[in-house]
Amino acid sequence: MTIPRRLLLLLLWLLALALPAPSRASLPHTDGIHPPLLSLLRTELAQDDDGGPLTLHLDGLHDRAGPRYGFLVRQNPWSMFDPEGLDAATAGAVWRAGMSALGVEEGAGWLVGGNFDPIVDGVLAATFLGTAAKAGWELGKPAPYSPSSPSNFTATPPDKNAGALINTPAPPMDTSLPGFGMQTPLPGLVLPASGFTPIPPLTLTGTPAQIRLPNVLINVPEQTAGITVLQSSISSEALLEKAQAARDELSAKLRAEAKNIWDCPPCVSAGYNTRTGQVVAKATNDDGSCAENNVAATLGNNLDEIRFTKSWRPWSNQELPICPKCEARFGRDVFPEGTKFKSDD
Amino acid sequence: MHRQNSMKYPYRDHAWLAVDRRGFVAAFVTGGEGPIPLSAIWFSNERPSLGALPKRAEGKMLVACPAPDMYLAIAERGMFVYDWSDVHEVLARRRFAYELVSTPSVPLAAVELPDDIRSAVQGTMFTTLNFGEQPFLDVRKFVECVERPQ
Repeated sequence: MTIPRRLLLLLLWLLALALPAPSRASLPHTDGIHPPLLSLLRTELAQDDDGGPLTLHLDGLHDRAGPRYGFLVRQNPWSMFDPEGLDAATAGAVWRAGMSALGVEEGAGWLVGGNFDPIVDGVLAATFLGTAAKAGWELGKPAPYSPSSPSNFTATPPDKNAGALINTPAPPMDTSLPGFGMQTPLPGLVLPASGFTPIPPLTLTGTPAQIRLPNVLINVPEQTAGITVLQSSISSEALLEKAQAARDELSAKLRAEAKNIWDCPPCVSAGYNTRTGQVVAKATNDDGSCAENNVAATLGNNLDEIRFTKSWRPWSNQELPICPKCEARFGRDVFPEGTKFKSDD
Repeated sequence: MHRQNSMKYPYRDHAWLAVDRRGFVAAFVTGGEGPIPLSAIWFSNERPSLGALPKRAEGKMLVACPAPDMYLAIAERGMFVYDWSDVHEVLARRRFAYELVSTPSVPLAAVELPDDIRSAVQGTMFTTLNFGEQPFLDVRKFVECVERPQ
């Protein structure tokens, strides 16, 4: 009887879960296996990071010096997550999207040399997402949270934590999923260790999150997983183009809605965060708050990282000059070349 | 008539209606900045379905606009259309007046409007004006207005 290779690997994986801890550190991580070189762009070197290429292992990211456990997690606004709801299929989709975003061709996985098994795939994704969820959990404090009532978590106002950073220099020890972080005697088969925080499966909904490792950003396209786009891989020109498209889409929507009542917001604007790549379009509030203020608030209000499109009037589909207040707050350089300002001659 | 009223300014780009001495109707599009007669605040509060009024005329644009359909849709209902075009101008070139941007081939008389809208429109009458004859119209000279705070 022939045992399918995927099943065999899965069995080996499960066996490894039961092994004692101390020997894991001595295990080779790459014997016989060639982990993918991640096409991650570094931002700046930190601590002992040697700047070498990063590879993704089951126990986290490695560079030439070995595993790298310290990482920063930045949470973009989350609307909600349900830590009890993630299924393997969802996780698999997340993982594939993530690998694709990282430039790792799907199916070229280093684990089995072929397509990921959905189960293994799901475990990996759950682990991957677990990190994000943990961050969201931490950043959500003191928002009420109950695993049995995930909707409570929606009480977290997005703008309260949009720009927050938490540092987890040491691997969290509160592993709650049996097997994770344990050792394996199998060369080259290292289980997810405590560098990633295993938590129960989860479902991510709402706005994206982002995982940031030392000098590195790992992202997955928004809409796929709740994890947002890698900023460094997108040029400012592309981000501006994307923001303009978002602005025009919002303007067209408001314009369509205005056709019957002859009433719409007077201005729309869009912007992007140069670090995270997040793009957002907003209209003037009914209280008169400028569209640019609303864009900046949604992007985290770190003005060093925010760039805008030209402002637009939905009614006439025309550019609006930037008002003096916005010019005073944001300056001229954050707007595209050729932008009109009210203060112009 | 130039004093700023304490009533809250509606930060919306919307049309309010008024009647001239002939009884014809004009729509004034605020751009979110143009002054609004106290008597016309009703339009920003109620947001009536003006677009549901029947078409009765051809509209003619008097100014260049990349997307004139919103203005033409109003003119096609028989209304003269004034726009607070200062929103597109730099501060130094503001006119502080509504600009005539579109005219109807067949003007609409206020008496032809549905009852609820007619009663609201007739609250704002410019009894010395004929709509369509002034390229720019500073409504603050004629009625007390709510203005956008600076």
